[in-house]
Amino acid sequence: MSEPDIDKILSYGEKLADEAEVFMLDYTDISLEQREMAVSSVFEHAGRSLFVRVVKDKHIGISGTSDIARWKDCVDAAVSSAGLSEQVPGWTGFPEKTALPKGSDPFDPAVTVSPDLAAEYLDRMNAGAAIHPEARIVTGGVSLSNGSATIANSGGVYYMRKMSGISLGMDAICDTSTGYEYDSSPFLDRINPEKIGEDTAYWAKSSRNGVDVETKKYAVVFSEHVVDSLILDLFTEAVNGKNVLSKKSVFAGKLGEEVVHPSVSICDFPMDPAGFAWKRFDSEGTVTHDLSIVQNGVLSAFLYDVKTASQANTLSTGHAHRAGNGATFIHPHCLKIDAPKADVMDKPCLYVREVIGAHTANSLTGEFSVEVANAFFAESGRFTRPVKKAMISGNIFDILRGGVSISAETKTFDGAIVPKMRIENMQVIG
Amino acid sequence: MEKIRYYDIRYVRGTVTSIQTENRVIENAGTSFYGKALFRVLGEHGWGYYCASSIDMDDKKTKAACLEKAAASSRLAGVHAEIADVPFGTPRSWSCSAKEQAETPLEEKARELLLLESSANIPEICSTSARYSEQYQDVIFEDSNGYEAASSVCRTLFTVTSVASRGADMQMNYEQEAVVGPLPLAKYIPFGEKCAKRAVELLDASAVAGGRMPAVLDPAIGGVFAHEAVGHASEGDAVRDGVSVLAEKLGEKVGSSVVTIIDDPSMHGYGYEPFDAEGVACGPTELIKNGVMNKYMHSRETLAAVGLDTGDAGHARAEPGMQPLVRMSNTYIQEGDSSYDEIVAECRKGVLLIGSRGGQVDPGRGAFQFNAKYGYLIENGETGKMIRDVSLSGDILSVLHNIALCGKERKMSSGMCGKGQSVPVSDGAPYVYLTDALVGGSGNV
Repeated sequence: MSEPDIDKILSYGEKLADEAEVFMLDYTDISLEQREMAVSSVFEHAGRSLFVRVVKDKHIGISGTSDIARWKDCVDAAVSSAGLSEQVPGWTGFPEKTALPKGSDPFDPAVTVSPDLAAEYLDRMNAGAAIHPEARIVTGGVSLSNGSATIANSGGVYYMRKMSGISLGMDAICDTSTGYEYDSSPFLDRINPEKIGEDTAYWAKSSRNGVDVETKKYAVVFSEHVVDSLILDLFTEAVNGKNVLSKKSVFAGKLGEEVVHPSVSICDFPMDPAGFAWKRFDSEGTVTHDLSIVQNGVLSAFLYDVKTASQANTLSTGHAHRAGNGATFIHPHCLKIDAPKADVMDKPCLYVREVIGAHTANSLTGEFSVEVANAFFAESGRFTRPVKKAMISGNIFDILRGGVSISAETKTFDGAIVPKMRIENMQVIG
Repeated sequence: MEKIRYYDIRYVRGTVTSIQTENRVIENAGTSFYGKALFRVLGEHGWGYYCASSIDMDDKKTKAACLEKAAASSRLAGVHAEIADVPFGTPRSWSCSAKEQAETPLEEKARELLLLESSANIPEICSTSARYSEQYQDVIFEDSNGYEAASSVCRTLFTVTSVASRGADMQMNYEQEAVVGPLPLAKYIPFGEKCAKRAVELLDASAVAGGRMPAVLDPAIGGVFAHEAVGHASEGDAVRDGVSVLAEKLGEKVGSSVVTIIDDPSMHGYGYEPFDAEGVACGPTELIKNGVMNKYMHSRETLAAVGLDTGDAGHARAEPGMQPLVRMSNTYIQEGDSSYDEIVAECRKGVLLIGSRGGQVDPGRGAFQFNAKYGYLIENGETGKMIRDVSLSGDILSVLHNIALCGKERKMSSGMCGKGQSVPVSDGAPYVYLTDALVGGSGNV
C-alpha cells in the first residue's frame, strides 16, 4: 500500500491481541556535504518507519519495518514476539486518549527541504570561518529535514507531531591542531551559521602551540559540550527507571535522599521555550509534564515509560522514546541544571572545550578518565595558553556531590539546556 | 542535461531477530524487517545520492525515477571527482548463511540465552542481563557498466552483563561474542559466570593513579589501538583531506620495526564483507609493514585522488541506504615472537590493561583515548594488584615507536565502529609492550 492506513493496522492487531499500537515516522531530508570549500555531494532521502506493539494477556510484543508494504508481517511478528516475552506484572495498558496540553510542535515551516536553503547556510558558515583564515576548513555539512511522528493505539490515542530540523557541522585544521563545531535545532532562526564557522576555525587556530601540563589538581571549567556529554549523560543513566528497576543505578533505593550537593537541582521541562523537544506527548502517547528529578540535592523522581512504571507500581512520567526495533527507551526531553551561578572563568582555571572518549566513562559508577581537546588555561575570562595534551579523571557523582558553580549563559542540545560548569579540584594528568 | 558519468545501486534488505533478557526474565523478543536502496550518481561536478525505502529491483521504471533524483542532486555538486578503475576481485566465501541457526526455533534460543544469563547469578551479583541478535542481510549491487554482485551474510552476537554490589560499591562487567555465521549459544553458557566473577573481582580492585609509565596491552585493547589510532588515520578520505598524521608518510618509518598492522575485509571476522559498498572485493591491506607506512585503505574515489599506488580500494562500507565511506573491516597487529611472560617481565614496573570499554581518536591531531575494562599493576616483572577505571591516551606516532615487543598469539574481538554510520568490525592484536604510555585514572594506587 502506498499510504499506510493506521486504523487498518490497529484493527488487524486488535483481532490478534488485547491491545495494539502503531508508531510511525514519516520524513524527508536533504544533506549537502562540502569539501575543498565547495559542495562535494548532495544526499536526498525520503522514507517511513513503522513500529508495532501488541499486548496479549500482559505480554508485550514488538516489531518494526522500513518497508511499509510489510505491515501485516510486522503485526504478525509482534504477536509472535508477545508469545515469547515475559508477562509484565502490573501492566496498566497503553495510554488512553486525553486532552493534550496547549503548545506547539517542534516544527518550523521555514525549514524547507531545499538544496538552495542548505547551500545558503553552508555559504554563511564559510563566511564565518573566513574570519580566521589561518585555519583550513576540511569539511562542512548542512542537513534539513521535516516530517511527522504519529502515535495511535487501540485505546483511542491518535496524536501526530510535526517536526523539522536543521543541523550544521564543520571541522578545520591548523598545523596539527583541529577544531570542530556542530549545532542543530528545529527552528531556523535559532541557528547562527556564521558563528559555527567562526568558532570552528577559532578552535583550530587558537589550539596551536599548546603547552605541557603539570600533573596535579586544577580548577577546571567544562564547556557546555562536556557538561552535556559527560555529566548529564551519566546522570541520565542513573535516573533512568529501567536501570533503577534492574539495579543498574547508583541511585536505586535513594528516593528522598540527598544524592548531590544541596545547591544543585535538576529538572526536566518538555515544553521549555528555550528547548528543542517541545513534546506534549511522548512516543507512547503519555502526556508530558515538568518533572523535578533532584530538588536541592534530594532525589525526587526517576524517569519511566509505561512498562517500567507498571513494574515499579507507579505512573509513566512520559519519557518514552523509540529505538530502531520499535522498543521504547527512556530519556529526558529537556534537562536543566540549577546551581550557584558565577562568572565561572573569572578566576584562573583550565577550560576544557571538548573531550575525547566521553562514551568510555563508566555509566554505572560515574568514573571517567578522558583526553582533553581544545583546552586552555584561562584567567579573568580570557584564554591565556592552549594546552598541548592532558587527561582529566574523576567521578561525575562525586563532582555533583562536591558542589559546582555554573554559568548563566547556556547552550541548547537535543535533550538539555546546558551551562558551563566549574569544578574546583579535578585531577589533571599531563 | 549533464551526463551521468557513472552510477551504482546498492539495495540492502534483511531481518533482525533479537532477544533481550533482564534478571532471568525475557524482556522482549522479536523480528524487524528492513530494506533500503541507495542510488549513487557521479555527474560532471560530483556526487548525488537518493535513498529509497524498499524497492523492487526488477521495476525498471521506479529505478529510473530514483536514478534521476540522484542525478538531479549530482548537478548541485561542485567538486569534480574521479573513480579509479580497479578489478572487482573475487569474493572470498565463508560459511555465513547460518541455515541451522535460522531453523532453530526462537524459543530454544531464548531458553539458551536465559541459561547463559542465569550462570552469571552468583553471590554478590545484584543484576544481570543478556542480549542475543541474529541478522540476515542480502545485498544486491549493480552499476552503470553492467557489473552485478549479490551476497547474503548472517551475523550473530550475544552480550551478557553483570553488576556486582557490596554495600554502596557497585561494579559492572560484560562479555560479548559476535561472529559472521552461526553462533551456537549452548556452547557459551559458561560465559555468564566468567562475566560475573570478573564483576565481583572488580569490587576489590583499586582506581589507579594516572601518569606516564610502561604498559602492556592485552589483545582486546591492543586491537582497539590498531583500529582507532592506526586504522582511522589510514583511511583514504582522511589522507586525501590532509587530516591524518599518517598522510604523506608512505615509505617512512612511523613505528618500531616489530609493528605490522593489517586490515582485511576478506577475513572470517565480524567485519567480513564479500565485497564492499562499491562492489569491490579485496584481500588484506598491510597498512604498516615492519614499522614503515605501507598502504592506505581506499574507496575508488580516494584511490584516484591520492594515487593509484598508495593503497587498495575495496574498503568502502556503508549502512543500508547510506553513502559509502572509507572504513576498516578486520584490523589487527600482526603477531611477534615474544611470549606473554617475556613481555610482562620486560615491562618490570607499569600496568597491564585488559579488555576495552571503547575509544576515540582525532586523526588530524594524532590523539587517541581508550578505556580498559580493568587491569593489573606490574611490579618487578610480575602482575600484582587488580586495577579498574583505567585508560590509555597518547599520540599515535609516539605510541607506534614505543611498541617494543609483540606476543606470539593474536586474538580478535568484535564490535561496531561509528563514523557517522555504524558498521560491524573486528580488531585484534597479540599482547603488546609499550615502553612509555600516558595512563589515566583518578585513584591513588
